[in-house]
Amino acid sequence: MRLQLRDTIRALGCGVMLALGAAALAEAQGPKLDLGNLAKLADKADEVVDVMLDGQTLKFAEKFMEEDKDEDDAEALKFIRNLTGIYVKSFEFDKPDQYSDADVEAIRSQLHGGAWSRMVGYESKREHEKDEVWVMAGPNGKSNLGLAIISAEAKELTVVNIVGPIDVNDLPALEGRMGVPHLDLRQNEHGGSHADH
Amino acid sequence: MRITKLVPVTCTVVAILTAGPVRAADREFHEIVNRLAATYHKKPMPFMGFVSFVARFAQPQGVSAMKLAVFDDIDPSLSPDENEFDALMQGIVGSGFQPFVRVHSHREHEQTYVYLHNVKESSEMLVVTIDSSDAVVVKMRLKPEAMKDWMDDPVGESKHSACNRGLGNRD
Repeated sequence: MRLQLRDTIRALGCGVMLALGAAALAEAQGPKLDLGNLAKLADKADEVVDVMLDGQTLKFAEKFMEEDKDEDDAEALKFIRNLTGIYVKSFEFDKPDQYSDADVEAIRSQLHGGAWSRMVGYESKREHEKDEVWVMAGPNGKSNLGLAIISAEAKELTVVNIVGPIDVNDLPALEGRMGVPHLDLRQNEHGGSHADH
Repeated sequence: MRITKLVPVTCTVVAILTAGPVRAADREFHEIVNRLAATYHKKPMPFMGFVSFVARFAQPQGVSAMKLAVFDDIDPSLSPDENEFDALMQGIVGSGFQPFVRVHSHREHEQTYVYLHNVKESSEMLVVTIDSSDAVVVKMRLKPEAMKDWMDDPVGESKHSACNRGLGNRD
């Protein structure tokens, strides 16, 4: 009996350690996602787009946005000022089912556990579409550390990874710019409509 | 008479004085052009130096120091594999240039690579576009105001940059 109890405690301990380890790993990975596993989809895709804006390029973008008197620029500027990266990877296929759930899960698994939490989710089985917006919370729940968008459609897969303090509400200012696709997030939140690419 | 004789001498001196730094700054451009020449077993279209020179007067605001090389009627079967070319490009441009946009379109048989090197007041951009019939290499310097279009629509700009900025619409 005592032996059984000891085994149970040991098993529980191992489980807790594993869970803590996974959470620590997810946190240690940081807000920048590893999108490398998607590279294999390039051969099947009709069109592959990669946009990589690192911190240095964003700083440079800030210069012209500051000089420009455009209202849209002024709004976007507020959000990009502290960002250290915007990464977009998009695949367009000529027919459906060219990527698997496992391909998307490899990205999603990086968001499970740790400080990531799903803020927006939309799924339409009829349209074969699933859109998710995830946010990585900063320490003590202060400003976020990053944001991820996964938009999986029948013939299109897009992953956006924004690194730096950004909120879901900031996204509309970046939609359609810097490689970030158009998303109807405001509609999504209220009416449950889908992302519009 | 003396002045007439001095003109070519002055031109030669200016050419020699400016050739060194220009060549050093354009190392990546020349290396990519040489690689493409070796890959497709052909030289870039002649008079591109002259076209580049003329383009300086017609280039959009905020764009300067444009260099252009066009390989026309290439044999697409000689085009390097996407991953191979990607690695090759990264090897040539080194860590100074950051990958900015890559578009691989199987539909249009087109590959576009855009690299960016940010310096204090301007940005150097290197664009390589290869389709089923041509390969175009463009290097240019962009002031912040010229980067606006690129930031607004990096994919659209990269798809058309080599053609529009280099030679006009070549379609």
